Amino acid sequence: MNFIIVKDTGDIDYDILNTIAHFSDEQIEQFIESIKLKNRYNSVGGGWAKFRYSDYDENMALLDGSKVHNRIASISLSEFIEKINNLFAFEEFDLIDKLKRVTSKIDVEKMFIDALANDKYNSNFYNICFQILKSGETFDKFLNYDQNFEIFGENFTQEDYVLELSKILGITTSEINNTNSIYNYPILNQEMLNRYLELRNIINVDIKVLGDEPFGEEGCFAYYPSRQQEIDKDWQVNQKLLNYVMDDMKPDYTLLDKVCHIYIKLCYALRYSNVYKVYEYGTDYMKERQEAISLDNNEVICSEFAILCAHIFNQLDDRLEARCVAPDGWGHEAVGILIRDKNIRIDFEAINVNNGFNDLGRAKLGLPFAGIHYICDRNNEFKESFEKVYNNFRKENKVETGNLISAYEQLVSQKDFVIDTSQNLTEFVERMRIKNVIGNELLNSFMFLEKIGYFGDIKYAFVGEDRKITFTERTDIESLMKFLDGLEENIIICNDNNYYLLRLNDCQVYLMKKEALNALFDNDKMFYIDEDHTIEGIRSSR
Amino acid sequence: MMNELRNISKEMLNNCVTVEERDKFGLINRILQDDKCFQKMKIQTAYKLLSDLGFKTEDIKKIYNDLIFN
Repeated sequence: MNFIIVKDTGDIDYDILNTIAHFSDEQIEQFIESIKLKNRYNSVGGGWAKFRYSDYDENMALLDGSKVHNRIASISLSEFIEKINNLFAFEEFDLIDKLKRVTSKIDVEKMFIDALANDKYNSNFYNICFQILKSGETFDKFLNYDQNFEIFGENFTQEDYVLELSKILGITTSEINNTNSIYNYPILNQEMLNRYLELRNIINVDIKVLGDEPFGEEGCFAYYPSRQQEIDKDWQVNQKLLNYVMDDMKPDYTLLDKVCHIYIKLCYALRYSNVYKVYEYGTDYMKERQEAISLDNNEVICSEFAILCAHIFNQLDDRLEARCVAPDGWGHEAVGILIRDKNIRIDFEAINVNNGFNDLGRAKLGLPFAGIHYICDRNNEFKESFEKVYNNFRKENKVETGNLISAYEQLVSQKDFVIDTSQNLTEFVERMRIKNVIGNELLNSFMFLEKIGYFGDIKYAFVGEDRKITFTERTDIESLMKFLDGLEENIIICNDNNYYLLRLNDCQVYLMKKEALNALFDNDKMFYIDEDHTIEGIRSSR
Repeated sequence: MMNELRNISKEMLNNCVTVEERDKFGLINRILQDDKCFQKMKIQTAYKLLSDLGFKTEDIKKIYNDLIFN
């Protein structure tokens, strides 16, 4: 894995693996200083700064020699540190120590106080934020907020502090109810982390998050106002697609269950369209395009999915409100729902661009979804509902192992293990002899194992011994059967100029010299069963 | 043997940190539900899967042979 970290000014490129590994101690200090950014607090993404992060494909390069990026995503400093932290698991390079120094040198307190002051909150506010986590005394006072206004200021609420702390820690509001994401947060000590988690359990920030603009900036995604009209426009979802999505909904499903069911079924039914569709049509709403989406014409882009999904959601129940939402206001679209009486706000990013494996693919393979952002689900109602419905779905839609294996092959490295043909042939005959497998059964076993690559990169051909008359020269059934009964059928196997003879009738394998095999052919002691399938360099006598 | 692999896979899935790891071990977990999965995949894929489950290269061949021939 490689990281290219580009500071948001775009003026410094850090290729962590290849560059930092060669930094001197002095240069590391400079690097550490460079990421102690001041006044770079970003209220949308959280953390102190934004970096661009990308993996690049080691096997590809552009014509000018530059590397091909698999994906690029903006990450906060905290995510950046977490990613470095994850690298520690590899423990292969001496750069690990250098990377550890990078993270250990970050002065958390200094960053809290110096870096974050802005128009809304002054440096004193951030100092208190830090003290709440650092000092048990301040923490206790914070829990008795009403009696300690003089410390925390009458202009701020407990929710203000907790929300701001979440942002400082680089936790976007979408992750606030998913505290798993911060357990590995590397720059807080355990005591501070525990205090933060306790606060999160005690102080209900849902109200603050939902507020007057539940689809607004407080959420993970910015509300996409121009889309609402399009969702509500008088257009009809293809009836067969709608039937497919709705028909097997269980009668006892709750509203939340129904939402989950619809999302899962849509992901299962639809496929991500090639990018050309965006270039050809753009992302503007087109009634004809929306109505044309069907089980047969099932390729969609993010905006089509969002409009379609929100349209179906909005027909479900008056308590549910669905909108198209867009991350950071740029072109990518997702679906947001709000169920106000349950304090539930969820975003569905079916075609999640920051993760190469989107929910459309995950549904088809029965894998955990990655595009559901729990903005508010304090009691885990939605989460539990989703798990229940998805489990039902997976039971009913058994996934072929072959598909899973293909997906796994896409994920793993291309590096191949060395297959030792000679060793595996020996192993094969020994195992088969123990099982007393010979003749035709041995042949079948050989062919099966050859197909899965057990013998490595080989070529093989069937040969008979001591030919008197060839298979094809026999015409009557009786003599044909006699011929087949008495036939000593063997297999010549060739791998990298090594030749083996596998005898089927007694399950033996011999390493053969090429000359010896040719001599057998020359002396009419061996012949190819099928003259169209031969081994190059081993000649037939015919 | 398959049950042992399933247990290892489940444990590794529970300890995943990154999305990429969760994807991989989620897949492995589901693949291993199929008793015949090793008969359905290429030897290279099987070796990689066993390697992902933490087996050393020198042990992988023996484990694979036991899986494929039994």
